[in-house]
Formats: sequence, C-alpha cells, structure tokens
Amino acid sequence: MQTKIDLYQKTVPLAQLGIWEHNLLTGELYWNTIVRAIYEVAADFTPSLKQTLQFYPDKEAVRGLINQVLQTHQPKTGVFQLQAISGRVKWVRLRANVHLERDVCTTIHGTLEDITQERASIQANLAQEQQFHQAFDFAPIGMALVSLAGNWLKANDSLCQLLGYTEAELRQITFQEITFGDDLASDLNQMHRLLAGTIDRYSIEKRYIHKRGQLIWTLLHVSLVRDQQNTPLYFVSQIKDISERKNYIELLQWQRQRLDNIIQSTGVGTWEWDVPSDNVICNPRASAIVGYDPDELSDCQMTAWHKLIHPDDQLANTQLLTQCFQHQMDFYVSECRMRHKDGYWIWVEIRGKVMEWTSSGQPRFMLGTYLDIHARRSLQEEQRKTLTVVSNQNSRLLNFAHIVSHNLRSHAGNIQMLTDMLIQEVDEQERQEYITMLQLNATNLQETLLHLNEVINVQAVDKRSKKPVGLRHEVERILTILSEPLRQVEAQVQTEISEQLVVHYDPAYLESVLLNLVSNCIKYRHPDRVLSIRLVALPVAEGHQLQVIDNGVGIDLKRHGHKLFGMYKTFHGNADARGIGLFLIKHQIEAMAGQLSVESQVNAGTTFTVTIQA
Amino acid sequence: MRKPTTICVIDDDRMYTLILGKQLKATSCCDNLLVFHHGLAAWEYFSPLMALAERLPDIILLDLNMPVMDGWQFLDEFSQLKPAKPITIYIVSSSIDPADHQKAATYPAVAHFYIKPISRNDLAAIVGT
Repeated sequence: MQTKIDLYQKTVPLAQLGIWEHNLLTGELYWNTIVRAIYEVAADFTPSLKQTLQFYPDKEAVRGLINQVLQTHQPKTGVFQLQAISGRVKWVRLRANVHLERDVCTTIHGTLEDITQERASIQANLAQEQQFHQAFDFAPIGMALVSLAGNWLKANDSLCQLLGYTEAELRQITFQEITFGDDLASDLNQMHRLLAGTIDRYSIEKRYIHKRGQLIWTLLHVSLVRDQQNTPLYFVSQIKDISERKNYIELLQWQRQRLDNIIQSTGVGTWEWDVPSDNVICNPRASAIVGYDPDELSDCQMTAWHKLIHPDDQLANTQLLTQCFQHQMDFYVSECRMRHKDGYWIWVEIRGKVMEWTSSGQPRFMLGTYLDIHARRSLQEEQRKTLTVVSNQNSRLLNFAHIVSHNLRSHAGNIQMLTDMLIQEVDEQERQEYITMLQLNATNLQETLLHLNEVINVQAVDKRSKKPVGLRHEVERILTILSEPLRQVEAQVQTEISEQLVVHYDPAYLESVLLNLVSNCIKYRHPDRVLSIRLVALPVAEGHQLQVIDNGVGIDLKRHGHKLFGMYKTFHGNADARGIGLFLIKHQIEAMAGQLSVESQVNAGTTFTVTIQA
Repeated sequence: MRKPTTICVIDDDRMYTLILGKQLKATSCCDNLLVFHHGLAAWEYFSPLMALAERLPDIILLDLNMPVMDGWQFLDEFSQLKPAKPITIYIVSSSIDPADHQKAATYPAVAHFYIKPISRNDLAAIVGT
C-alpha cells in the first residue's frame, strides 16, 4: 500500500496533473501543488469553493458540471477558460467524480490539467483548415480530393464547371470513367508510382471527357496525402484547362504540316542563313537538288554552298547578293549552275530575303529557297540553239532569194534587151545575130537554173543522210578520181589522216567537198612552183577538222574574203569557177552542222578548214 | 556640134556588154565604148591616164557583183583618183537588195542606180539625147 502511494506521489508531478478534493461533509478543500501552480496561488493559500469559482469567467458552466456530477454520480470532464491570479488566461481540462458512502456523496474530487498549449495548436489547425477550404473552394483552377480508388471525394466549382458535372454527380463516378481512353494508361502509371512512393507528385497533360462529350485538354498536378503513419489517405488534384493552348498548338502544327506539304509538293529547297556565323539550316530537298543526303549538307556553312556554284556564275551571284545586303534590292534572285554530287552542273534558281538586320544595317538573318530550274534552262538553251539554226537558215534563204533574183534578172534583162532590139532591127543579118545571142542566153539561163537547183537540194537535206564514212578511204578515192589532172601538173599530195578515223557524213557531200577543195588547189596553183597539197585531219572540241593546205597563188582575203563563198556571177562562161563551187560546199558543210573557213596569203598558199561534227 | 562622148562599161556579163554595145551604137550618141569585165581591169587602165582628159570616159556604167574587183571596191579605189575632167558614174546592176541601194546612196560620185535591164529611155537619159 505504502509503495502504491509513493508511486502515485512520483508520477503526479510528472504528468503535471493537478488533484483536488472537496469534503462535502466538512467543507474542506484540498489542492495539490500542481493545482496551486495552475491558479498561480502561494503554497500557504487556503482555498475555498467560492474563491475557486472566481477563477473561471464562465462560472455557471463550471458549476453546471459539478452539479451534474453530484446529481448523476457519474464522472464528467469539461474544458474551461480560467484566469490565474496573474491575470493570465489559460485553458484547463477539469475532471470530476464523487465518492459515495451508503449512497450518500461524501466527497467530490477530480483533476485539473493546463491544456493551453494543446488548445493553441488546435486553434491554429482549425485556422489552417479554414484557409485550405477557402483556397480549395474558390480556386480559379479545378481542384479535387480523389480517393485511392479514383472516386471524386470533393470537387470545387472550377472543376465542376470545367467538366460539366455537379459535385454530387462527380461523387458518383471515378476519374477513370471520364478520362479519355488514350490518356488513361499514363495517368494510372504515374498514380501507381506515387502510391509506391517512387515520386512525390506528378504532372501530366491529359484529356477529360466533358459531360456533353467533348474532350478537354488539361494540365493535371497530383499529390498524395498520407497520415502520420505514412499510410496513403487521398489524392489532391489540381486540374488546369489548357484546351486553348492545345488548340493553338494543334492549329500551328496543322499549319506547319500544310506548309511542309506545300514546300514538299513544289520541290523547293529552303535555307535559313545566320549571316554573322555563316551557319545554314536546310530542308532535305535543298541537299537533294545537288545530290546530297540531308545529313551531308543540312547543317553547314553558306560558304560550302557557294563553293558549289559554277566559277563562271560566281561573280554575278556575289554581285546580286551584295546588292541585297546593301539595301539596293529587297530580294536576291540568282540563276546559276551548281555542281551536283555526281559531278555535272545543274541550273538552280536561288532566292533570298534578309529577315533581320543588325543595328548597323548589316544582314543578320536571311531566308531563301533553291529551285531546280535545270529542265527550264535546258529547254531555253535548246530553244536558243534552235533559234540560231533557224535564224541562220533564214538568212541563208534570204541570201539565196537575192542570189536567185539577181541571177535570173541578169538573164531576163538580157533577153528583154535582145527581143527589144530584135523588134526594132530591120537588117536581117543583125536579126540573125540577135537570135543566136538569144539562144545562148537561154542556154545560160538553163545552166543557172541547174545550179540553183543543186543549192536547193542542199538546203533540203536533213541529218538523216549521215552515214559512217572512213575519211582516209574517201580522201584516197577522190585523189584517184583526180589522179589525171594531178599527174599533169606533177602535184605532190600528202595525206595525214588516220586509217581508223570514221566520220558521220553524207557521202555525196563529202565527195563534193573534197572534189571542190582539191580541184581548187589545181586550178589556183602557183605558176612558178610545183603544186604541193596536204590533207590533214585533227581532233577538235566539236569533233574533227579536215584541212586542205596548198602552196598556190593564195587569195587576198582582205579584198575578196567577204564574197569568197558567195554565189556571184560565175555562170556566164567566164573563167572564175570558184564562186559556185565554194558556195555549194559551204552550204553542204553547214547542212552537216559544220563550218568552212579559209586562211590564205597571196603568193604563199591557201588553207581551207572544214569542221566535222562528231 | 556636141562633144564626142566616151562611155565605159564595167560588167562581167559578156552577153550584157555585147547587147549594150549594140544598143549604144543604135543611139549614135556614143563615139567611144570601153568595156572591162571586172573593176581591176578598168582601174589598171584608167589610173595612169588621170591627167589626160581626152583619154578618160565621160560616163561609167558600173556593175556591182564582179569577180576580182567588184563595183564597190572599184568605187573605193576610183574615188582616190583625181581625173582631169568630170566623170559621171551610174550603177547598173541586177541587185534588188535594198542594202545595195542604200550603200550606193553613200557614194557622192554615183549619179544614179539603174536596175537591169536598162531601157532605151534610160540610156537616152544617160547619154543626154
């Protein structure tokens, strides 16, 4: 018994438990030291019941509790405010019970605890909770408490508006039910990681299905609330409406895709050039135009691109770019040849515009395109060549028309004059002479017409008449034909043509060209020396060159060069036969897409050069 | 009493020179007819005679398209010479090429350009009857 009292006396101060007892029979009131400390009274203070009640601002409440215990004989606990002697306000927990002896209350006793600190923290908690609820309810973004199974426990107005459900409706369903199917897995996955403690919170972009059915893009933040034992209690979710942002992004992506499609379908290569650093970003098409893989050229320097430009086009391109850089032109447009990876040249149109300038007016950023215009340029080139051919043909035709007119007019004029005189003449002998002259004239006219006919035939021939001909063999054949006149003048002939050389030529034209040129050598040989003729074939860019070189009288080219190949009045029986011959073979050579040129020095000799297209 | 007239024809068409000779003879206005078949022959004949007025022609009928030395070259060479008396030059050519007619107009020595055939009336106008 003694030990029990000892233990009691040791533990009571430890618990800071005030103990009191009131003897209802004697009116005696006992307080232990803890009670005295709570009321802040001195050790010798003799308490009375009436005085005790003075400490409590709500005396009635305290009296009520005591009376209840006395009437019911049941223990009771109350929490009250008290004001100590010092005036300090405290919160206390008061417990009371009665002691009965033969059903009569003899004492009422109890405990008194200072719970001021405990109360304060409870108050603080209450205030915090209040604040949380305010923040929760009136938050501009959707907020919800969600059970571990996914049930909506609590949802604020913003969330209800966002999803179209009332809070009551939401409580009937889970978040899984109104999550867009494609987005559920990632949400659940994150949720499980959160429950497992792998992560503290997570944020994902997901779509909810609105009550009316449309999808709503949201940004979801989720955290997990656990109790003191770290057991998960519920999720706190913040849900922000990002539909507008998502829609813009989708619109932008769609527009970007459309632009990409357009760029792709037009086959335009694009480039972005940071001028100060010279860095260039290109689309795959840009590299493809010049035959490279995208990764070979996609991120390189503009200098590397410019190096691909044909040397002959470099200057013009640089000038155009400079004009653009110096604000002389808004756009830079340049057509130039660029070296394809496979080594050939390809026509490319480069366009560009400076998008950003430095404060000192220097280009900072330029955008542009590459366009493959090879087909167009080739066509233009082809058209230009065709036009040249047609123009040449036209001028030859006009020239020919003048020649025809001139030559026919000469004969016609003579005939007219003769007939005129014939009519006037009475002398029979004279008349006979005129008639003879008329006949001669008719013969000359016939001969002229034959010559003109030959020229027309040359003009009419097309390239299909080309056949492979061994040049050496053909030259030797012509020399055999002319062997008699050559022998008569004791000419020395030298042939420097490879046996293997085969040219594509109209055989009749080749014969005509060779016959004419070699005959001319004989005709215009120098009277004072032995005729020497050299026939030489040389390879040139277009194909081959055939040269016929003699040591004859030569031609004063300054004086006669311009009419050397003209069809002049050579049909009137005079000795100069060069006119029609050279005129004819020039046309024949040109019909074979070649050229006839001449070099000569009077009294030294003449070289005729025929180019033969490969 | 009119002065005796010397006419020079420079033309490579022998048939034409023959016919023209007969025509001139018929007009009986030509006392002296000189015929050359290219410009060089005429130039070589005349150039040493420039001081001898009685040896020079009064009129030259000049063709354009000729071998050796054509009408244009002859005109170029002849305009360098200083003949002792005025010589009137007429071009008589079959050419209807406008370029030839324009070029002829640039030579002050050329009095007129006749296109062949030259008519009797033209001849009469040239020799002044």
